[in-house]
Amino acid sequence: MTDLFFDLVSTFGAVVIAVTTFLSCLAVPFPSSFVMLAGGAFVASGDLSAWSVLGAAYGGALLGDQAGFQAGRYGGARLEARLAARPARAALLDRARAMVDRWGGVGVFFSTWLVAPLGPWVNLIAGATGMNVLRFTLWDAAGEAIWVAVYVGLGWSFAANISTLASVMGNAVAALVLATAAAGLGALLLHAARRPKP
Amino acid sequence: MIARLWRDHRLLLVAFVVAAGLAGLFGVRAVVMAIRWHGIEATDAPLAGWMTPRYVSHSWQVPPEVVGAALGIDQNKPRRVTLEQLAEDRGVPLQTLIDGLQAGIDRFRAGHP
Repeated sequence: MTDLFFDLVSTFGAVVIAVTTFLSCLAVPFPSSFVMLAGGAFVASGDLSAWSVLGAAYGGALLGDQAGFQAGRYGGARLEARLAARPARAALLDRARAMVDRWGGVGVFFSTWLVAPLGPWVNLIAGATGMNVLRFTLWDAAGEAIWVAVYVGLGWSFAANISTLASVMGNAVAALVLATAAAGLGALLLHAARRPKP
Repeated sequence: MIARLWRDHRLLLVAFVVAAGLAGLFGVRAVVMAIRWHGIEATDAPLAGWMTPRYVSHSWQVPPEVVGAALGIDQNKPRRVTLEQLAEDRGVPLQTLIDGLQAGIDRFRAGHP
């Protein structure tokens, strides 16, 4: 499977990287990490230029995140109109909004690179809860810079054997995302355990 | 507490245990692979169709001319091509091309220990 994506990059070049990072930021399950590793490796071998690989990956990621954010804004406005008649549900949205106000910037930042598979959903939530566009864009741009630099940099450094590197990274990212999910579920459990019986 | 959670929030508890277990499993896999990879497989990636001639010379640490000669191409031309495309252009099976390239690399290495 990884070979297929390496093949797409070596055959079609940086365009593949831009399209892949764009789609993966919209929750289309394309392995953009493999594609960026391959891009870095082909920079090291002299087949692609560094600026085209970095520019394609960064541009695709930023555009994809903005698209997801705008979709969230559009969906959020419609959701709010529907919830206006149901105060209990509207209160839930208010709570979500308060949480995003407090943690949204940091959440967007880490969801772009450390737990990247969660990124698309965080973008939607940020848009739906009316996060400030400038705030979103700045945190997003900072996070994506790290994401792109790390993967392209790793591909460049360990170009000689990216297949093995890709499987190490794939497992590490899966572990991080599952650990994040476990932490979230654990927090819910603790909350439930502390609540007195109804 | 566990018993109460099992009774009142079974789904949540199961989801938590599954997520934590899988996180540990993937974490261990990543570490094991990283250790194994660190030792032996840092270079000489097995030749495959997605590789370019320049990538092969980078991974196997042989001069581009050696790869170029084994494949019968001019490595100074700024064209990006994969082994698969080369094989297709020539109408030969990919494996034949790869075997020839591998033989060329082995010959060069035998002469430069």
